[in-house]
Amino acid sequence: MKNYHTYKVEDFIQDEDFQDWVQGRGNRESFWRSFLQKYPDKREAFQQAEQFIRAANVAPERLSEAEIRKETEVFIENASAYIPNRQPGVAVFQDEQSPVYTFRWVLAVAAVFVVVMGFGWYFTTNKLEPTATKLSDNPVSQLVETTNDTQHLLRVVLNDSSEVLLSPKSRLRYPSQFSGNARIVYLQGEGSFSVRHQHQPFMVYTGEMITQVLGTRFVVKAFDRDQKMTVQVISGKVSVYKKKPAQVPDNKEVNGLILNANQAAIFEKSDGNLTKTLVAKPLPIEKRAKEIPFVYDEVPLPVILRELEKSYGIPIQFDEQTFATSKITAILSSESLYEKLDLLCKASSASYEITDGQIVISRKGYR
Amino acid sequence: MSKRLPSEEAQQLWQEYRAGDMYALAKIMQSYYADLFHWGMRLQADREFVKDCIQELFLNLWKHQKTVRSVENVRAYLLVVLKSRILRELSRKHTTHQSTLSEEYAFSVEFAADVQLIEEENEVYQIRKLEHGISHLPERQKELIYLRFYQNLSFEQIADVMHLGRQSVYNLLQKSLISLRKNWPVSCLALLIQFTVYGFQFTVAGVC
Repeated sequence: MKNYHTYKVEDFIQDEDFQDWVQGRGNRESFWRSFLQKYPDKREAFQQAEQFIRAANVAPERLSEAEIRKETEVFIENASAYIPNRQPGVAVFQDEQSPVYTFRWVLAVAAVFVVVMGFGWYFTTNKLEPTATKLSDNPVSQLVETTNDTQHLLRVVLNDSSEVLLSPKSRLRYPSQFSGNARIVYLQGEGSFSVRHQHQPFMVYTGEMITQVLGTRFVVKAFDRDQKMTVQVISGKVSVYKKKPAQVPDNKEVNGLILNANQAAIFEKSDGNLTKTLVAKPLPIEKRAKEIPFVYDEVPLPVILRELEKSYGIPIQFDEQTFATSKITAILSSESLYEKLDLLCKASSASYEITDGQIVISRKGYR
Repeated sequence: MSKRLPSEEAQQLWQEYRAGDMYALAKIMQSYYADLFHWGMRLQADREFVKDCIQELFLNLWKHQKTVRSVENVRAYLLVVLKSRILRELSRKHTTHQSTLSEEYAFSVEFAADVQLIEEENEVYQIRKLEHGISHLPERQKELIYLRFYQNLSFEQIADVMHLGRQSVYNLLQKSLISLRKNWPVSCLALLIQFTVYGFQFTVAGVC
């Protein structure tokens, strides 16, 4: 408790609470309003300090949010040229207080995933700049930059034999030689990654989102920009996280997603929502694709759905009993998953929807 | 003024930046950019120059993340670093009359009293008079007042930014208050105003 009885002008001036009140920020409005009733002999010092603070007001500079954003982007552009020298054995983004972030999967299969940036921001900032000289400043990690100015996909092979198919108007920055305990690349635009299984995690930095494969984690960071980013998984397992808001108890369901093949994550920057969905064109998981011909003669719908579920690795939810009597005769080998579902649903007066990375089938009018 | 990023959040971001997160540093930059820019403009009223200095400051922080220490207050630290960078850049520009003393830098600020909420005409007049008085204080005193009331720094942080001891900051504030006394309506009965600084007492006679 402060001793206001001894307060002088300079004490009021130094009192942050008082200053906040005068400047219209504090939350002790009623206290300071009634202050003089409680301490009537402080009137002069109180008023002088208040006048002083009001007189000392300074107008802000003319500076728009857009200017600030632009400057921040310039910084990110320039800073991306320097990959920090990481000590072996020091975990990247090790967050001691949230062990929930640490996921360890032993993946037998190399994870293959696609990172698609939301259109817009990254393309607009994708200007040519003199990075070559800056890059050479850093003796630790020689960064190589590949920009795809062509109309077709560009294949980039990294030093660990991982491959990246770089889409047009996209850029990849990567070290000529991976070192340290993480393989880090910076992507602007779109890239399809086939990551070679190795002990060090492979991380793709895309704005405020970090995609991580191979047995650890995948971080999505919320940053004040309003485009969306997506991650689509073709095979293997990837985890996507957005930054944990302060004061929210550890809860991985809220903050992160685990994606399997054919599933995708969308990070909506405007509201910070990270949602799970399916990729635009689910493809059969390679090994199983040849085994299933998708030719059916009077086959019950549930059997077909289970086969689809297996071959695409996507969970399909439906009521077994409801559809047990629906018999299908069809050849579905050339159709895409969604076309197959359309046909199957039509034949059995059902409809499907995609919820939380799963397919939910229900009979029309029964929901 | 819009809400600032709370210092605890900045602290958290600072830790993340030191652990290697570039975007944490970018977030700090974005959050405090307006404050840093405003501060820079006080030292050198050249928008592009100030922007360049801020860019270099953050790029430098990123390059040297390994050696950057943890700080007590991120924003105050950035204000200190920006000031020394700007002063260094300026002294490099004007090598002819190289000023070795860092306290000889220019500081320009325009005080514009906030009288929006004041209804009483007499009080508006008083505040305007004070504003005039503050505007004519020596530069270092204006800097202190600016750091206190625009940047909302604590006296300890002001001492850091101004490269002064804490006691000197207090003395400087006292000096300002003394020279402003004449702008305050001193009631004829209260001729003597006393104030104490660290047990050191002095008395000023107010002239009615």
